Amino acid sequence: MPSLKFIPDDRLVELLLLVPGERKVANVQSDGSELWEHVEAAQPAEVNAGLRAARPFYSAKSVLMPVSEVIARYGRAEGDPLDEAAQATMAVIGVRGCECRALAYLDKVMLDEPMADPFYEARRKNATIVGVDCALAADSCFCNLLGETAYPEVNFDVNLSPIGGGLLAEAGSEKGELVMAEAASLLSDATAEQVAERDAMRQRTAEQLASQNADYEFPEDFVESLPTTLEELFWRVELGNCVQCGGCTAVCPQCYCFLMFDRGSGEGAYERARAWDSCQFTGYSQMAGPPGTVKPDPRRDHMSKFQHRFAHKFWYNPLIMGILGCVGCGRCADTCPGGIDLRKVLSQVNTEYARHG
Amino acid sequence: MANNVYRPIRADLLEVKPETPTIKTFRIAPDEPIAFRAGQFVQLTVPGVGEAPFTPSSSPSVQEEMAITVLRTGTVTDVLHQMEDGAELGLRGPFGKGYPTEKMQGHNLVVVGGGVGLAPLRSLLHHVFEHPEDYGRVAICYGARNPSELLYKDSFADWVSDQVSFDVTVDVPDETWDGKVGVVTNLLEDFDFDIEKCYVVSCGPLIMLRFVALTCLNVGFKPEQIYLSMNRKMSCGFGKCGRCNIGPLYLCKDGPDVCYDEIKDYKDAFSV
Repeated sequence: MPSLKFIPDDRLVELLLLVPGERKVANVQSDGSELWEHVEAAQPAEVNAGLRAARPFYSAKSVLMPVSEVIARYGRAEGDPLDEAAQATMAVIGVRGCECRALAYLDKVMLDEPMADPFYEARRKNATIVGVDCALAADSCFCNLLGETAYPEVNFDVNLSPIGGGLLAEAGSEKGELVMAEAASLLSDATAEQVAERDAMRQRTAEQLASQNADYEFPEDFVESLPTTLEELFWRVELGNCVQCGGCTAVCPQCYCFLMFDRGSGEGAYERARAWDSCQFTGYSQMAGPPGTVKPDPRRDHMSKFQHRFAHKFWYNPLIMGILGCVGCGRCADTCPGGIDLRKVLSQVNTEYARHG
Repeated sequence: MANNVYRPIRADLLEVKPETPTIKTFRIAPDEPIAFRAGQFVQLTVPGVGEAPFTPSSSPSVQEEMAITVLRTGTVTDVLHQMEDGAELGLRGPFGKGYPTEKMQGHNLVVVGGGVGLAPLRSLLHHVFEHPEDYGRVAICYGARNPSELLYKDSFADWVSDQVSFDVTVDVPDETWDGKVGVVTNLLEDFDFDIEKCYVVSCGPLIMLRFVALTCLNVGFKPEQIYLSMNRKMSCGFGKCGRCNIGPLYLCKDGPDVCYDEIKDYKDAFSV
């Protein structure tokens, strides 16, 4: 078992400043609201409070994959934005268990065949991930229903577990071991009582999740059940609450779609940029067509867009890579102005499948 | 310097050849050779306007330049159609899997094109004509809306041989037309060769592809013998930007030519 160390609350920021990365970004709690902020710019108490709060509204995706960025310059434009991205280093602090699992998914999409996205690859390689246990679950969290834990198990370099008076720190990679070695003077060996306190905290969060999600039941096999329910009435009821704002895909730690576009940047100089996109938006899958005509779009109607989000996450993804496109973080329910809750939709899939399957 | 796959390779537009009132063929030479397989596509950049995906219509054995046949139909192609010899373009690629030419070896081929859909198929035909010993009989079936929209008219006679047959039809004839009238699927109903050892390869509008598949099934082909060049919005070219899927397949990396058997169960496969 990797060794657990104790870092007292008042030395926490010193530890975080030893994590490699020119930019060190943490999810902090400031005046009752949360935001991703540079550690140096935040009060130590705000950083500490951020690590003890429920998972943030915006996931680590928003730090690792910018909302928009220039990805190429051509014509007379000079320089390659990839060179800048390849040099930048970053520490991302306060990454929850769900987000660490989401990174495994994003890695699969962005790094796998036929070739890696070079920007994601560079940022991911140059990022140090500091995970944190969820001492508290948000009301909409449901990682337990997907059989997952509310603390990081993969994809962290260092993980922190909040307990009374400080946090327990654990390395999850060689990079993390180096940070722990460098911070040795700040750390002490965790006592048996402190380890027991961490286990009790994890147990409390697990019980909170079990209790708040007791009324929901998911199908055992989404690939089998979801396609059989697509004509059921409940989809139309849920659809009636969707205003196509794209909030669900924006806050999702796993949604990764982007739109590419070119623009002039000077005489004979051009740049290519990309921005987050959403499968819920009109025009997302629309193809070219003559002006004044209805352009071809394989998912033109609202229902096909609405169901695509579920089909991609729970039907196609298991077929493509053997994992779901959802980690159960509930951010989509938090942001939805129509109150659409994925837990409710998937429970209805289960009910209808049980009835007809 | 790291290799940035999003940056287009600069390319010279060597020649513009009008094919029909709405279609032109662009001969393009990239600064670095682009080796592609028949059926693979490139992203063509019109500087400052954007990119659009095209499968070259020229022979895959020529890497220094390629021909791309383009229907004028949107923002990028509008500007492209107004460009002249000597203009500057950009290319990225190749992307996609291309036609399964190894699998097709030793088989008869039915090549079904509709309108500008004959363009990508021409790269396959070039490949087949350069390796005639690898393939059996080849039946080319081509249809267009009207006689003026037929592509590569000068080549039709050259394609025909003991091995290769060519049949053409138009939906709406004019006074110059004394050939067949009707949709291209009418040409698919009898073949004087073994369809058991045969692949169908088709490119054209989605509605046509759907009826090519259904007609072929009626004639006795199995779903796994039918390859269709499906249409989706392909942008990044390697499975990252998300929008070109049919079910679990991303056309930009798993296609754009896919086996009918793999897509037939997804209800939006043929939606337009």
